[in-house]
Amino acid sequence: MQMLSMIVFLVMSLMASIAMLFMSSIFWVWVMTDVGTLFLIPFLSAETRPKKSWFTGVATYFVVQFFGSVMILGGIILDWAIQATDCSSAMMCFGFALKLGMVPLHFWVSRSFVYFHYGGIFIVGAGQKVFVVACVPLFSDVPLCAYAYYLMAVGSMIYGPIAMFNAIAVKSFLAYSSVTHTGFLVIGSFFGLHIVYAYSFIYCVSMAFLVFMLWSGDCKFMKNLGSELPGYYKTGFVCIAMSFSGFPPFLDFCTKFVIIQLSMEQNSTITITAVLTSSLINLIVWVWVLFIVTSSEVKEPGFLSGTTGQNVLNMSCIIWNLFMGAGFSMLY
Amino acid sequence: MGLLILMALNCFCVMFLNKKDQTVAVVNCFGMWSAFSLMYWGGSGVSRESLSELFCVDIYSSSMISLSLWICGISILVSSCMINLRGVFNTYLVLVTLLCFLLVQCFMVNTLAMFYVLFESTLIPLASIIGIWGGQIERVPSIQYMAAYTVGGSFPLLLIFITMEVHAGSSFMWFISMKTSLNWMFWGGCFLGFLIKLPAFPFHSWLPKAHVQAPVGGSVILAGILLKLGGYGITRMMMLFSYTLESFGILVMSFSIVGSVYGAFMCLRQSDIKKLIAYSSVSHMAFSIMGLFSCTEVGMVGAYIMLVSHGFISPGLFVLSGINSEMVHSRKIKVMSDGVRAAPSLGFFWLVMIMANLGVPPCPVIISEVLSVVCVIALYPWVFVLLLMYFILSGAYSFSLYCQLTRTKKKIKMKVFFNEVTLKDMSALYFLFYPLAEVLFKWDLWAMM
Repeated sequence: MQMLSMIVFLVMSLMASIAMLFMSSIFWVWVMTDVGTLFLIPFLSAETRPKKSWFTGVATYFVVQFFGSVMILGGIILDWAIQATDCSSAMMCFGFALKLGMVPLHFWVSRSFVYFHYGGIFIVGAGQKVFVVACVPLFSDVPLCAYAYYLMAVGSMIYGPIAMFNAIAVKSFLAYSSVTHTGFLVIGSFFGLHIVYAYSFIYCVSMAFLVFMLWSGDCKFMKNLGSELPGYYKTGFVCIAMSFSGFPPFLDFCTKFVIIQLSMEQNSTITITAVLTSSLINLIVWVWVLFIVTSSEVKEPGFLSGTTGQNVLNMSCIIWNLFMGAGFSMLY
Repeated sequence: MGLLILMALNCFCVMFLNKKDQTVAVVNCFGMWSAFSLMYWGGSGVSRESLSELFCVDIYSSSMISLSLWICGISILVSSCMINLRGVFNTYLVLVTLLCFLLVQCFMVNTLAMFYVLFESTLIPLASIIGIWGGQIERVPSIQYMAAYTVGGSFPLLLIFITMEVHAGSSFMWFISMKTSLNWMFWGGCFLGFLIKLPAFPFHSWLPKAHVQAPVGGSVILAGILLKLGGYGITRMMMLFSYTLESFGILVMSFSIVGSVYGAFMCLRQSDIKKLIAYSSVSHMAFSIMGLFSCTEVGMVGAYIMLVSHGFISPGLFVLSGINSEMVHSRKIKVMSDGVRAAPSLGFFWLVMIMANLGVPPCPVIISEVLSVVCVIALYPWVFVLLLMYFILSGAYSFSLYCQLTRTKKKIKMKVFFNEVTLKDMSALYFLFYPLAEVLFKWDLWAMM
């Protein structure tokens, strides 16, 4: 019953988010965003073994999202009532940045994620964010806000991997990974919605694989990843880690390559520097993660040693990370 | 293309063999592929056997391809004899074969974009080899160092080929551009990644860490062929952008001269054999850099003689150090002397390899050093003082190494795990000697006619 309710609320949230993409007015975008967030609350609260901690995570998430929505609504009303474009854009910029968890408004992300279940981490960290990023106005009529939004995205891309290095809990690690990729998505939105949609799809699928593998092993701490992650998923996890490291020819390298190419066409030096810096730090972080995962003293089953479904998932993950990069490059 | 297809088909066939036969089969395959790759050696100009839409090979790339195949085969041969290569050996075979496949393609591709992708991809199998079979917990930071230096250093190159793709529509490497005035930042971006890979002073600090943590087979591949990627990349970039002697090149040559002296000095101070060989690689690669950046035919010939010769000598040193350190379970030079005393034939092989490393005739390294020295002195004669210091220091550390390994001070008890070195153990070493003779007799292969 609980699973059914989780699915129902998730579907309703998804429908609200999809509807949001088709709204032409910023007010209705705000309405649908909030409806989607509200439907996520029961989904995030669902726990097979209820404990006090779920309340902490969900409450933090709800309060932050509520405050962000208030700021956005305030900005909309100000713009409608007294056409104070600067002030309203500043409030909306703050509100969206808070909802997305961009640096320096990212304080709630790790605090919430640590108490979420893995499904919630995927939905909040990847699913919800891609919809919100797609509907954020880029504040083109208020350059100061546009620059602030852009610089927050740059800061997220660079700060995120540094914080990942210091993460003790796996969920905290995923939180900061989400901050990094949010920054990347926002940067992509400056080059066009098609980039956002393409990267969103890629990011969601990659995160789905990653989160599922971590959930199946009930991984809690980074230092125990080697022993907690199931052996039959290790090859797939290694592929994801190599992809997120930015090694060619894996998938994440190809997406970053496209962003750099677009930045080069528009002479955006800051973006190029930010992407390269973020890639370098990400490389070091994920190499560290790779070695934690592969250094296990426990003798465990290896590649293709799980059930059919597990093996299919593992192989799909490997194929996705190894070959979709080339596919994406050719399609783009 | 035919070589790649042959490699793929052979690998497919080897998969169906018994696990214990696979090692021998793979080694034989590498021998066969090396022989096949000799078809591409056609002197100056493009090899007709290699022409295709994706690949194009000349004498510089064909020599590197043959070197890759040979060294990867040696790596498997030497690793199969090592008792400290724990775990599933077949994984090692797969990684080395994959690495070789990537390297061969890297030396064959037509476009800078594909070259970059393959250049970076070679890091993955090597990092896996060090990670899985490296001895100590410090292997993780060593891989991080290696990855960060290599990937970070080649970011400017990534930007350059993206610029080429965006503005010119192609990063085809065989278009030779008109000589234009390009500033030092551009040249720095072109060459930085390759200079780090070589490694050039002062970007060399990743190499000793990587060598110390890598297993013997990994060190063989790293020293034998992976460092040469840097030299090959520099050659291609010079060809593509019509590089001539510029202030950037003179700066690089200056650093290299200092680096050669520095490397030799650091070799004198080492007690760990693998670190000593790593610093000696830094010294020798400095001569390649001097030859390449001198922008003379003589320098180019000298550089490639050094690249190819070093590709056989340095792995030979690592093979010997691997055998010797396995006997005494230590990489300390003073402790390794017990192993040499237990198996006196090792002393002879050490003498031969140390002399080859030093550049004693008839080793081709002396030809390379002479040619490189001639190029550098032609620019500024007083550089000879620094080069003289290098020759003295390299003689000193070689002599010191040999003396430490073969000291005859008697001990009450020798701690060795085995006291016999068989033909099988030394087979890798024999296969490294033969190509040196070939290089000696064909040293003018890289001269442009």
